[in-house]
Formats: sequence, C-alpha cells, structure tokens
Amino acid sequence: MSAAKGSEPYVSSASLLETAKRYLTRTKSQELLIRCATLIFIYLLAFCIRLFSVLRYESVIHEFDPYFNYRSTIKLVQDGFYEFWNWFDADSWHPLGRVVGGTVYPGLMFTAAILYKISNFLTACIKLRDICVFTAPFFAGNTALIAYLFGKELKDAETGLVAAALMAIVPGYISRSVAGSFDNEAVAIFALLSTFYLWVRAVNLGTVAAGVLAAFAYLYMAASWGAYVFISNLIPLYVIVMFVAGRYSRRLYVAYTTFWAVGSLLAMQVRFIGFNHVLSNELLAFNGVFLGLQLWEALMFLRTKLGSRQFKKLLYLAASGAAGLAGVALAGLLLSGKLNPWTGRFWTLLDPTYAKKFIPIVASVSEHQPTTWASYIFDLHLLVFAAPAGLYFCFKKPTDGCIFLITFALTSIYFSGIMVRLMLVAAPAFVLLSAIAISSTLQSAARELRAPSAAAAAGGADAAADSAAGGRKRVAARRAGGGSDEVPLSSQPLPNVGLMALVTLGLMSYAGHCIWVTSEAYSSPSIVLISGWGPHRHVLDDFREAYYWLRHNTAPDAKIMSWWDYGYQIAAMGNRNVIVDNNTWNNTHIATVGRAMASNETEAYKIMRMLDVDYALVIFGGMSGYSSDDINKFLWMVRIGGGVFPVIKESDYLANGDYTVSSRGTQTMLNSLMYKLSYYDFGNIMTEQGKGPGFDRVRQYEIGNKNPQLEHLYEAFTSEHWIVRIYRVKDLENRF
Amino acid sequence: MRQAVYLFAALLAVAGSVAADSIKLQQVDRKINLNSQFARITETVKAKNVGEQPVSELILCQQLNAGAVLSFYKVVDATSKSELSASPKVVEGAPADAVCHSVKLTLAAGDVATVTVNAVLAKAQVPFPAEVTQQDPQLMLYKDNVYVLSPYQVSAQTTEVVTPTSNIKSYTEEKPVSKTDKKIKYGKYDLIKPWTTKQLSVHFENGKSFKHMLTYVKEIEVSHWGNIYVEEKYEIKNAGAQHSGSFSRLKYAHAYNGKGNSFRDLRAVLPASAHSLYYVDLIGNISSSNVRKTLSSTVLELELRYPLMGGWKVDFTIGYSVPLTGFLTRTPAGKRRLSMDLSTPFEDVFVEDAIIKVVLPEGASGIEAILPYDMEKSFETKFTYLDTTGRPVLVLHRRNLASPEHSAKFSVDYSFGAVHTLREPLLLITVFFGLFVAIIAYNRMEFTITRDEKWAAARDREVLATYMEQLQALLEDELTALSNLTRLAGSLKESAHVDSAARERAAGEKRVKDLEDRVKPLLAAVESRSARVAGQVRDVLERSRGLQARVGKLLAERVEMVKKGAAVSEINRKLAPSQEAVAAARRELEGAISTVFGAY
Repeated sequence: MSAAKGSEPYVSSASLLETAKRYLTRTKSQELLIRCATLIFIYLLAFCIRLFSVLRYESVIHEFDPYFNYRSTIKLVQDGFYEFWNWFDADSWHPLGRVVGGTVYPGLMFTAAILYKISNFLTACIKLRDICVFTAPFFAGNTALIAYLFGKELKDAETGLVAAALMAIVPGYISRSVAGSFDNEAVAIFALLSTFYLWVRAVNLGTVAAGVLAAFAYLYMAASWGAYVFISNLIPLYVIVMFVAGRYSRRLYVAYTTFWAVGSLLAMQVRFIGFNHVLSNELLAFNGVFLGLQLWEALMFLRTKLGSRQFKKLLYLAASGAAGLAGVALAGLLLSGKLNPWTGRFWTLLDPTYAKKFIPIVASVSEHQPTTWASYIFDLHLLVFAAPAGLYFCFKKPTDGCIFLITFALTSIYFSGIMVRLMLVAAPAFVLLSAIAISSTLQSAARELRAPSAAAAAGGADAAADSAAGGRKRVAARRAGGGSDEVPLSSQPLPNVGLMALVTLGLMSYAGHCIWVTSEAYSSPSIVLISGWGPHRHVLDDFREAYYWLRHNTAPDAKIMSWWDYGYQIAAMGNRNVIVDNNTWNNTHIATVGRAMASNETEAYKIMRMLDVDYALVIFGGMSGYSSDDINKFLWMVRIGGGVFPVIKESDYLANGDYTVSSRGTQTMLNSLMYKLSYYDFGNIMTEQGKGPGFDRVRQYEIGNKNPQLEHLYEAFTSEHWIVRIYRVKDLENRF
Repeated sequence: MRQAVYLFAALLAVAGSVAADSIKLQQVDRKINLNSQFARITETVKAKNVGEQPVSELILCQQLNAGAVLSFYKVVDATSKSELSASPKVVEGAPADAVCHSVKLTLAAGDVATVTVNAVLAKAQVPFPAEVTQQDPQLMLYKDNVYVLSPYQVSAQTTEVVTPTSNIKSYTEEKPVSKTDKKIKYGKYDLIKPWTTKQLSVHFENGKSFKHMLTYVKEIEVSHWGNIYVEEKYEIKNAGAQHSGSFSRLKYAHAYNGKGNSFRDLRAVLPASAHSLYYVDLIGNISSSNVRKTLSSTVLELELRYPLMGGWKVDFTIGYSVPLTGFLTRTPAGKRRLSMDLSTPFEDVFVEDAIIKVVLPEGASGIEAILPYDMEKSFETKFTYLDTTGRPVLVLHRRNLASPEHSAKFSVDYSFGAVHTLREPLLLITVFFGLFVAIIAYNRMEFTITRDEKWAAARDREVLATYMEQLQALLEDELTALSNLTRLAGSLKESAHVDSAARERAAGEKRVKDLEDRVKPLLAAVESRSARVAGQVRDVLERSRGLQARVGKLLAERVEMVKKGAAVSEINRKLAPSQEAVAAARRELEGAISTVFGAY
C-alpha cells in the first residue's frame, strides 16, 4: 500500500461510450449480463405462465381450500394478529366450532397479509383478493431463484440456471401454484426448497450463522405446510447416510446441531405444532439423531482424553447405561401418554394401502390416490428421463450436496408414488437432478467442441486456466486444463453437435409440454366452468350464483349442511355456518352428515333437526353434465357414514354390486335423501334429444324414481344450470 | 300577560289562515300514474287570489300513506314554463300524513295563476297480499285522498288513476266515478272544502318490477393524467310482494307464469366514451352482461347473479372510465369544472340512500359543488396511489332518489395547479434516487466485526483488485492511444501532411509515455501484494511495448514513403505486412489483457 501512497488513483480518460464499450466486451461482464437477463426472464416466465387462469377466466380464488385461506387472510387483515391467533371459528363445524388459530398453518396467511400491508404502505392499493390470487405466481418466481441458488450450491452457476428454468415451468409445481391457487403449497415449496438450499449451504460452510439461517427457513416451512415433517425426517436421514458413508464431518455436526436447536425452538412457536415437535413420534428421528450426534461427539472427545483400555470400559458402561436409560425413558413417556402414537398420516405415507383399509376419508380424496405412470409423464415430462441421468452424475462425483440431493430425490420419489399430491415435493428433486444431468451433458459437449480451438490457442488457454478468467470460459478452460480424469467421448464435432441438438430438442418439447399442460389442465379455477370455445363459449357460474344467494337471502345464522368438499366455499362466499368443511378434523361429524345424506328423508330429518340444519345443499350434474357431483361422491358418503354408523351398509346401495341410480337401483338408494335432493323435479325434464325424460347426462341413463316427493324439505334455490340445489329444512309442525 | 301571548299567537294563526282563505283553487286536474313501481302524480292547479291583499305563496299538499315517501316534487308555472321554488312547510290544520309545500308565487289580488305539479311517490304502492308464491300475480294497493288535499277551497276537480293492467280488483267508488280498461276517473267534484279527506284505495295487479337500491355509493375519481374513474356500488332488492314457499327452478324456466314478480335484468346508460367497464361483486366477476355502443351513449345491459324473487337481495359493483374530454372544463374564472351525472345510470329504479363521492386530485382546493337539488355535503380525505397528503373528497348524500326524475348533471368547481400533476412522478424519482444512493452507500461501508486473517486476505484481494482495475483502464487507454496512432498512419497520404502528422505523432507518443510512467507505481503496488500477478502484468506490459514498437515502425515507414512521394496504393501494398503485424500484436495484447485482468 505504501508504494501507491501519494500517487493518485488512475482515472481513465476514456469517453462514456468508450467505457461502456470496454465494459460490454469483457467476458466477465458479458457473462454477468447474460446470467442476470436469463434469471430475470425465468422469473417473469415463472410468473406469467401461471396467469392463464386469470386471462382466460378472471382474478378469482380457485377450488376449495384456498377459500378458507382467503377467508382467514381477510380475518387476519381486518381483525389483526391477536384476533387471528385466538380465532375460534363458530361459523364452521356447527355446533362444535373450530379452533382455527390453533389448527392452522398460518404461514400463507401471514405472507399474504404482509404483502398486502407492504403494498398498502407503498400506496399501491392492491385489493386483498388480488394479493391472494397472485401470491402463488409470485412465490413461483422466488422458487425459481432459489432453484438457481441451490443448483449453484450443488454444482455451478450453469446448473443453477438450468435448474431455475426447469423449475419455473415444471407442471408438477404449476399444478399447485397457478394464479388463484391460494394454497399452503404455493409458499411451502418455496420454503421447502429454501430450507434445503440453506441446509446444504450450512453443511458446506459449517458455520453457525448458516445453520441459523436454514433454521429460519425451516420455521417458514413449519408455519406453512404440514410437510415440514418431511424436512425434519429427511435431514436426520441425510445425517445418518453421511455417517454410514463415512463422510461425517465437523461441518455437518455444527450445521445439524444449530439447525436442530434453533429450528426446534422456532417451529414450536407455531401453535399447531407446539410441543408436538418434541413429543411426536413423527419427529423421533429428528430428535434422536441429535442425541446420537452428541453422544458420538462426547465419545470422540473422551477417546482423545482417555487411554484405549479405559475408553473401552467406559464405552461398555455408557452403552449399557444409555440403553437402560432409553428403555426406561421410552416406557415412561409411553405410559404417561406424552409420546403420541404414530398417526394415520404417517402410516399412509409409509404404506400405500393403509388409507384404503382404515381411513376412507383420506382415500376419498382424488389427490390422495396412488400416482400412475401417466401422471409422472404428464407432470414431469423430460425430467422423468433426465433425473436418472442426474443421479448417475451425482453418484459419479458425490459431494455433500449431491448426497443430500440423492437422499431427497429417492425419498420424495417414493412418496410421490403413494399420493398424487406429493408429486409436488418430488418435482424440485426431479428438477435439480435433471438440471445436473442437462448442464453436465451440455458442458461436456461444449468442451469437446471447443477443444480443437482451445488446442490451437494453447498459450491463451493455459493463461486462462492459470488466472481463472470468469464465467463459462473459465469453467471450460479449467475442465480442459485440469479435467484430465474424464476421457473424452469423442473429439469429433458431429456427435457433440448431435448431442446438443438432442438436448435442445428435448428442452423445447419440455417447454411446449409445460405450456400446454398449464393451459389445458391446471388453469381452471373449478369454481367457474366454461364449455365451448370462442363465440360458443358458455359460462356456468352456478356455484357462485348459489353461494351468493345464500349470502344475501338467508338468515345470517343459517346452518347449511352439505358434503364437506363445499364447506370452505360456503363459508367464504356464502358467509354462512356450515356443518362440516374441508378441514375434516372430526370424522364422526362428517360421518353424521354422510349418514343423513344416505338415510331416507324421515331419518335424515331427525339428524338434520339434531344438527340444527336450516338448509341442505347438494351439487348435481345430471342436468349440465358436470361429472364431479354429489351422486358420484355418494358412495364415499355411504362408506364414511357406515364406518361410524353401522346402520348404513354399502351393500344396500349397490344393485348386485353395481352402483346405479337407474330403475335397477335399490330402494335404499332411490329413497335416500341424496337421491331425492338431487333429482327432485328432474324426472320430467328432457335433457337430451332422443332420450326419455329424466335422462341423467352424467350417468347416461334415465333415473329410477322420476317423481321423488319431499316431505320435510322444500326447494329454496336451484342455480341456473341446476348444479347447486339448496333445500330449506321445514320447522317442526305446530302441534295445535 | 300569558293570556295576551296566547291571544297574539292565535291572532297570528288566524292571519295565516286569512292568507290561505284569500286563495281559491278554481280547477284542479290530477292524474295518478301507477304504471311503474312509483306513483307519479301530475296536478294542474288553477289558483285565484280572491282576497284584497297580494299573496306571495301557494300551499300545495299531498297525502302520503304509511311508509310512502315523497321522492321528487317539482312545481312549474304553466304559462312561463319556469320552475317555481317549493319548500316543505308545516301547515296548521293539515292531516298528520300530509306533506305540504310552500310555492313562491306572487299573485296580485284577483289574479289567476296556473301551475303544474309533478310528484313522485315511492313505496306508495303496497303489495297486498304481502306474500305471494312463485306463480301468483303481484297485487298492489294504492291509497290516497279522493279529493285533492288542499288548505284552500277547491271549486272543481277531477282525478284520473292509471293502472298498469286492466286487472283491477277493487277501487273506491266515490261518485261520480267511471272505469275504463286501465283508467279510473273520479269527478268532477265541485266546491270541496279545505282539508276534506276521503280515502281513495285501488287494488290492482302490477307486474312491474320494484327495483329498490337500498344503498348506492358512487365514487368519481379524477386524474389529471387523463382519466376519470367511476365506480358504483349497489345493494339491490326486489321490494315487490315477498316470495313465499319454494322456489322452483323448473317452473321458473318452463312455466308460463313461473317467473312471478322476479327480475334479473338491469339497463344502464353510460357516457358514450365510457371504456374499461367491469361488473363484479365480492366474489368475482358476474359473467352475464352485454355492452352496446351507440354514438350518444354506452348501454350496459346486465343480469344479476340470480333472479330476484320478491324480497330477495343482492349486491354488485359496476365501474368504468371516461377520458377528461367533455367532462373536465375550465370556468371563465380559471377554475376547473368537472361535470358528471349525479344519480344512477340505471333506468326505473328507486334509490333509498345515495352517496356520491368526488375524489379530486391531490392539491385541489376551493372546492364548490353546483347541484341540481339539495344534498348534504361533507368532506373527507382519501389515500390512493402514491398519495402523500391525500386527495380531497367531496361527499354528497341524499335519500330517496327516483330514476329518471333525479337524473341530472352536477358540477364541481375547484382550483388546481398543473404542477401538482408532477407530484407523483417526482416522488417516484426521489424514492428511486434515494434507493440507489442508499445502495451505493451500503456498498462502501464495512460491517465486519472481527478483523482476522481471513478478513485481511479478503481486504488484500480487494485492494489488489482496485490496482488491477486501474492498471487495466490504463492499458486500455494506452491501447486507444496506439490505435489512434495506427489510424493516423493509415490516413497519411500526402507529403503536405507530414508535418502535422509528425506533430500528432509526437503528441500521441507523449501520451503513451505518460501512461507508461503512471504504470510504475501501480505495478509496484501490485508487486508488493502478489509477485505472480505482477509477473503476469509485466508480461502484458511487454506485449504493449511490442505493439508500441510496431506502431512506431509502421508510422516511420509510412512517413518515409509519403515523403518519397509514392502512390497511395503502392504504400498500402508495401506496408501491408507491417499493418498485419500491428493488428496481430494488438489482438494479442487485447487477449492478454482480458485473460490477466478478467478475473478482477
């Protein structure tokens, strides 16, 4: 420094234009520009591809669960944090109510509320509904950026870029994050990937600060989605794998210990988790591995202090002592009931057939069905083929990060096979593996292509290898100079060009497929139905019509009985009390509703009086051809109802093992409340040309009982296309 | 004393009635039109001053049955067609359910004046029976006074009641009375004393829809950047006979009279330039509307979310934008004048409670409203996009508006400096400037707590990087100077230019020399940090010198040949190898610079 002291720093005399030109011709800045521009485009792409639903339909909240989240966010924004925290929702699960504050993952609502507050502070005046609608696309962009960072952490910036691009449009993720899909998953995948990225970073750095950062990401995940348990089992599993593989290091110890301590404390702040985080069996591995690590470190410490004979003695004593202590502790915890047993959720995830046998309510949801191969191709396309290649590359050069990725990928692929829904968790794993595969392939192909020219300018390349000139060139040069362990496949340009063309073709078809899937399959809000195209477009807006009717034309404290699928929507859009909703926390209550729907009218009336029901609501598709209606779900109602109340027998509703509402249908079926409510007034309508009256357009046959009469209920409202039918439950008749 | 006060009061009252007595109504023709949800009453009144004193007011009264409201009241002089001011007044002796107006009218003794009264009564038709099922007709009961309610003696009068259908269940038969198809004629009645009442009641079928806007909030937001946003929020109710029993969609869709008294369509007439229309409610778009553009207007035909049976309610919001042209003008006094429609654009509706908010841009002052009828005025402040002090909002409130009687334009005058329109862009510029400054400042600060070896090494690297950057700039400048010299060589063609070229060459070489001098301290600084890097830099410097030498050689040769007077083509041909050598050296130097300095 002393040499330069006194002399002025040199300021270039070049003109502005000249300076700009010089800047732009430098490799380093060119690389930076390309990278930033690519990332910005990826971000925009991730956001924009999710807007199909807004453009084609409108800015509206989709489906079922998002309506609850939306309603909660409204509550949070209007009444404030403490009111939300202590929210007892008397409007649902009548007459039980629901402790929402303590049974909800509030991450999503807080996120939306904070975004709303920020936008208000900046006087951007965005409506809360729009904030909620666009939260998912916004977070999809963020997820793509995290994928970039993760890829960079795992391998290099190029892999990061590929990962970001793949992540931005992978259909498995888009399915849960289109605009309007205001669901936990929308922010949770971001949280999940952030946690994993920060965890790998913490393992690579081995600092407390990095571990704490990962723990905060874990808090966000724990506050957002129940799948936080996946993280807190995967990370211990990873530690065990590392241990077994002999890659256990001090860095890993620091990262895990910090993560465990801070992460546990933070996650316990979420009311729904609380002490479960310590006591639950689901997190046994998380806590157990921590204890195991401490023990191991203590032993290592003692070994350095003691002689080997003494250490053996001590080891023997400690092992038997620990085993005894653990047994006593386990027995104590089990007896005192502190240690919760393994829940059905856990078993469902480990055993694909568990739900079908024991929990019909879980099995009744379509997204809980096992995944088919078709849906792998549909949701992942190219990634299905690229990911195994990625695994190969990971195994070939196993770094700590790659081993984590392998663990993550293998477990999540297994889970995704059990439930369609968990495809969402597998998607990032597929993306990262594929990114490694694709970028490695492209890099080696590019290297081979460059090799002849590099050899020609050997002098320059050597200098480059020495001084590490930035970016692609640097990497290529380094590989060319130092990567002598890899035998070139071929130094001929043709195979390499072919390879690159193949990858490009694959990526292009991937992009095309993703856009097509998004536009065709994942962009329907399912609250508004559109049939036809162009001038023949016909909007079926029956759900909102009926819910809005409820909101304005029933008593404010009216109780609506419907199947649980519609509970959240009725509460949010109709603003009325519901008996059961999508939270499904009380199986008996749902079974009671199922029983009412499955019973004959007189029996059902008793149940409805008991539940204080004012209106009964059914979804009916026979008129419009809307196939996911209540008659098609009816068998599940029977099963769930029958699971608790044995009076309801599935066989009574099946005609020779056949589920039908035609004239072949059983009397129990044709007399059930559900049948009557669905087909009241329907028997004499001609729905399709050339078919008899009362022709059901979903089932494609004429119904059995064409003139069902109602005694204790009367039709209160039916929407324009008969999709939603609402019946008023009559009061008891006067005695005098 | 107290008695004296009472006496005085009594005298005053008598004086009032004396004034009343001095007027006689010679002829009153009244027409009650029930062919809508309103009762629209038109009276032609011929009044004569029979006293000795001139009178200055005419009292006109209307009976209102329970629940009815007088929504609109207008008195016009029949001869001059000018509107006369009418104000509500409590008149001694009037029945409790009467509403009287004092009309300002100067009538000299013996004079006769003819005025026309237009009154609109809402909620005057009462459904009877109050509840109907889906297929029943809607029957209405209208009650009024058979005679024109008046504080004056009425010499002759007739009344005509018009009903929407010929289905009249019953009507008061006060002779002489006659009924034809949809009309009932009462009178003529002669010499009716003041305040004579006799109930008139008509029970008839009215299939018209009773569209009541329970609340109506209109917000007009002016932006001087070229747009006026209008948003209207409605809560609408079918105020006809209450629907009872079940609602059958089958009957609604298929039966001949299955729609009952329900309605679903509304029609609004918006300004022709209206664009960006929307029709939504709390839960999203309502996908059933149609817009037709004509030259004079934009017609918005919308369907409610569901048909409103009697007593059913729903709410919705419509919104649109219009450009400033035609709506925002300047008054002669230099103020801005905003002229818009005051009431609802919907046809044939009754608005129970109307609030009109005019949001003016930030910085507007001296706000005055010019209204076609009385409204409550108040002010509030609204914060929207990028507001700092908030926008002034003029809030107008009035109950019981009838459409189309209350459809009228209103104006708001206000002062506004054009500079205020720049507020928001300036704010944005300031904020972003501040942001950049903050980031620049942050980048130049150091937040490290511990200064260990790692820190020192990083710091060293940083310092080295700054020297390298300077060196690179220096070398690139040198490169520029050298390419200038090369270009000079290329442009030298005639011997006459040799001298000036020599001068330029000297200047250029001096510049290169200066730059060379400045390299030394920087190189020494780099040397002290990393000998390896210094070696690389030296290598680059070597190449730079090589280039210098080649350029110098090229120049010298060129000068030589030009002096000799060789032809340009020959010079170029002979010097081509030197040229190429220079270009190659240059490329080499550039490559070396980018490899050595690229990492910093």
